[in-house]
Amino acid sequence: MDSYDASESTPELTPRQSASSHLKDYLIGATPLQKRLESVRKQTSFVPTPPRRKIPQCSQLQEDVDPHKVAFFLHKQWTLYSVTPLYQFSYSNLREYARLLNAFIAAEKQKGLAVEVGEDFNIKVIFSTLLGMKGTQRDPEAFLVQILSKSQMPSENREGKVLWTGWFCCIFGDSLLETVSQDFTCLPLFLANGAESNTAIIGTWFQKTFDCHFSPLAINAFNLSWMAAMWTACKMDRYMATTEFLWSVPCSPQSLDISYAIHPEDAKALWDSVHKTPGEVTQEEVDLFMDCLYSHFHRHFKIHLSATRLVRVSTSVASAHTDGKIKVSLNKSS
Amino acid sequence: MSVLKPLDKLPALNTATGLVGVGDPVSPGGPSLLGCAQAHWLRPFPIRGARYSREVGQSVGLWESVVGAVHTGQERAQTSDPPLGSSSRERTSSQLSSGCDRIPQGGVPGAGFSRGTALPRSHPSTFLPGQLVGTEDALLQQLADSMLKEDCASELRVHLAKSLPLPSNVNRPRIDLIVFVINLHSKYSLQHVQESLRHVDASFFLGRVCFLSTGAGQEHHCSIHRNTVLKLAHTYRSPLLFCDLEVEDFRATMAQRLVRMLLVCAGHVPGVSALSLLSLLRSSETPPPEEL
Repeated sequence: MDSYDASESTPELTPRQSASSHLKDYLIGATPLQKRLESVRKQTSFVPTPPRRKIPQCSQLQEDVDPHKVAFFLHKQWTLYSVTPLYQFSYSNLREYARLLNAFIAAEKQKGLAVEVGEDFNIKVIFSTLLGMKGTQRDPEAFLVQILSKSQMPSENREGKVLWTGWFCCIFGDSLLETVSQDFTCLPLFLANGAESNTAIIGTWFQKTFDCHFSPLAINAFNLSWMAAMWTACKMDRYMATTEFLWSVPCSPQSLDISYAIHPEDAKALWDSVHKTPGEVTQEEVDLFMDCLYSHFHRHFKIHLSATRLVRVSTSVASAHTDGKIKVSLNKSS
Repeated sequence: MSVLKPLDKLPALNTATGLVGVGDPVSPGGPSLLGCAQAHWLRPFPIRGARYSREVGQSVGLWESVVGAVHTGQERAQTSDPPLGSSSRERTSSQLSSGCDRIPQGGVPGAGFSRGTALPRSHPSTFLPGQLVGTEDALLQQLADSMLKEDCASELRVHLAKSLPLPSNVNRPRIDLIVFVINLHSKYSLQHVQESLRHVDASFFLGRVCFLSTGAGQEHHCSIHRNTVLKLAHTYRSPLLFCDLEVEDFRATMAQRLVRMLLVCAGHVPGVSALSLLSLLRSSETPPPEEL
């Protein structure tokens, strides 16, 4: 899911061209592991690379997406997990999976709770595909898992309250997709919203059924600064919230938090003065943007923010926390 | 003026001096913020061995704890004299050859393994959030400790400095190796290192400078991309080492490696010079610099 790596235009030697004839046969039948080793070798062969460039593209997302479908995504805090490829996952068996997961959840809940007897565990699990939530055509389709509470009265509307939502997606996963073999579906990002216990149960079911592994995805300070710069770069008609940064000062015994709030228009003005080429964001621009904020802060408070750790970034568009929590606040029209 | 030049002094017998740990610490704090403790100013570095080096005694007045100071990046920016002088280059090469004649091959000094450490400091600090800086400087001190624990036939001296230039009024022995320590968690350390690099004479970069980056193990705390540091090391044509200095075992291994490099740079290893070591290290890692 690294759009920056995909946009590096380094000349690459295809192994086939440089190999002798008997090696050529060997490479054509290369296993995925060999392909992966080859791709890793390509990436590291030009090691001191120029500053990384990320290109914000107009992706599939904006064309295919249905606004109502996307509405579930907004204004909720999502916890991010990284998932290994799912083995023998099929989009045609979604109803089957829903049924199995429902049974599993019921069984798990029954295991834990001896007290609440007689409940029908009126929850319902729904699996659905999310069309358009992907970066390029090659990316597998995203799918959504929801746990709804079934209403007691059948006369009321059938759809109950949503208790838990989670979805898997793959966005610009080209570098991963080329090394994944046929039986695996690569959907490396999982977003969950809801009770932690439900997340754990569902994670266990997926791990058992599809032989995958979930691990919490932490966002490091480097990526947070990129997010801050790119979200500030978004052109908005109205700014709903101030742009806020939160730093954690790594000192003992007590840890300090420094919070820095800027008027969003000022942040946008700063970004506009830093940004040079349209359609492209470079490492230097991001560094300069953050350095301006740091030096302004230093001038007033004599504190070097560059020595602290960026923990949270919050803009009108979205906010992200280093523990792997994001929230998208506003649907940018167009 | 305050530019470090290698081999300014004639080399002493069996002494290898290394300068470790520039550009690490962090002091984002004002006096009102964390209550600077004056008591933290003088925290002498532990001295090992029975013999104190002469320099330690002299520079007591200048001792501020490694924990000291600040920024002064602005101040240093003003003193930007070009570090390169062509005349100094000839001088150093001639001293290099004379130096090699005087170093005995693998002898053990009569006094045994006595080691001393000195702690020169560049600028007096005005305020000190002692607690804050503790974590970073602790790493440097621990690394220096591990280096000094290594058994070697020569007397080892490790200087710690927060930034260059070092004060020029202190009598110090020749410096054989400079290790710039960059903490990947803090952009501040990278900025410090970049500023300090301007004060190093160009002849140091022929194998006497090394970059050490720490903190790559905790990826989620990193605020500097690995490629940035790689590019820095590549620009200065110097080796880059990665080590998580917080882990005891890695630190001990890295200390061994640094001591070995230091011995090579000081000329105490027969048959290997700093420049040959540099070319050995370079050929295995990076593509030729013309590609950049």
